Amino acid sequence: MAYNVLIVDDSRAMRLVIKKTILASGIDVDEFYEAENGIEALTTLKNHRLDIILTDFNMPRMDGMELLQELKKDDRLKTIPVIVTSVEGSRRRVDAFMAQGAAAYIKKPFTPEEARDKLNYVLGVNSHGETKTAASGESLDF
Amino acid sequence: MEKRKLLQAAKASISEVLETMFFLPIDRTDIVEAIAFNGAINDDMEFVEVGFSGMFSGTFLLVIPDDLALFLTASFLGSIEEKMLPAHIRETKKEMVNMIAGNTFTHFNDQVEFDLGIPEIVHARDALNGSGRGEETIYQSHTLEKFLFIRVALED
Repeated sequence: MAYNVLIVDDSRAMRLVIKKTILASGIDVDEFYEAENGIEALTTLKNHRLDIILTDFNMPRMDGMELLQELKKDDRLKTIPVIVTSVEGSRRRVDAFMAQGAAAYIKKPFTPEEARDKLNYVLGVNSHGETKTAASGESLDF
Repeated sequence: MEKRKLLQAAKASISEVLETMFFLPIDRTDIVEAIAFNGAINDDMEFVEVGFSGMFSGTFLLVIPDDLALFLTASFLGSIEEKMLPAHIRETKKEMVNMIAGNTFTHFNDQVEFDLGIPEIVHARDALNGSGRGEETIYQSHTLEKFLFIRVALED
């Protein structure tokens, strides 16, 4: 399965690093989308179907926590897994993200292996790049 | 005591960020006097600063020579130096100081929350005048026969 991925970070350099990390991790990506902040991310989400979102926390205009809160209010968007990638490492803030519904947290600095493991965990991809559903023959459809 | 712990965390953070995200081994990091810092910079240089607040408030300032910044940017972005634009270098410097600061607070105490600002470009003349906001500690990290500075300024 190929995924549509949205990367939200006010640093273009970091967006590129995350994109390269995802590609290096072997995850099959159909399309990458990018946004500089939460507001841009929500605009992108109006027009495109996304499978996973990676968002920074500290961004101008709308930060990662506000974005997460907006996503969880929207029935169409609340099931999209969100991975928070941030330099913020305080236990309380990480717990707050998870309580708000983040699927995982990747703290910067991160190694490519750490990022790959979290992505695979969230997407349910095994070491051969197959999703759990594909490997087991189960379906996610109800 | 807590200030000292924060400064030790800053030192550890510099090495960790540069080694993990920039694949750059650090030979050593020393605390240096302001005169060494001032002597290594000139008016044309651009620096990056990020403010923070919480148990302590202050700033982290990154000073990095152009050639090392170019090398690190290419390494960070997984590209070659010839393809790097000034915007790539500025953004990479911002991300570097951002990660060093954020990682410092995690090393210091992950039960304590700090608020980190948005990194900004500052000009050398302002840096030379000092932060003017209390105690400053300047770290010089040596690598590849070059060096970079991180100045941590803590408000009184």
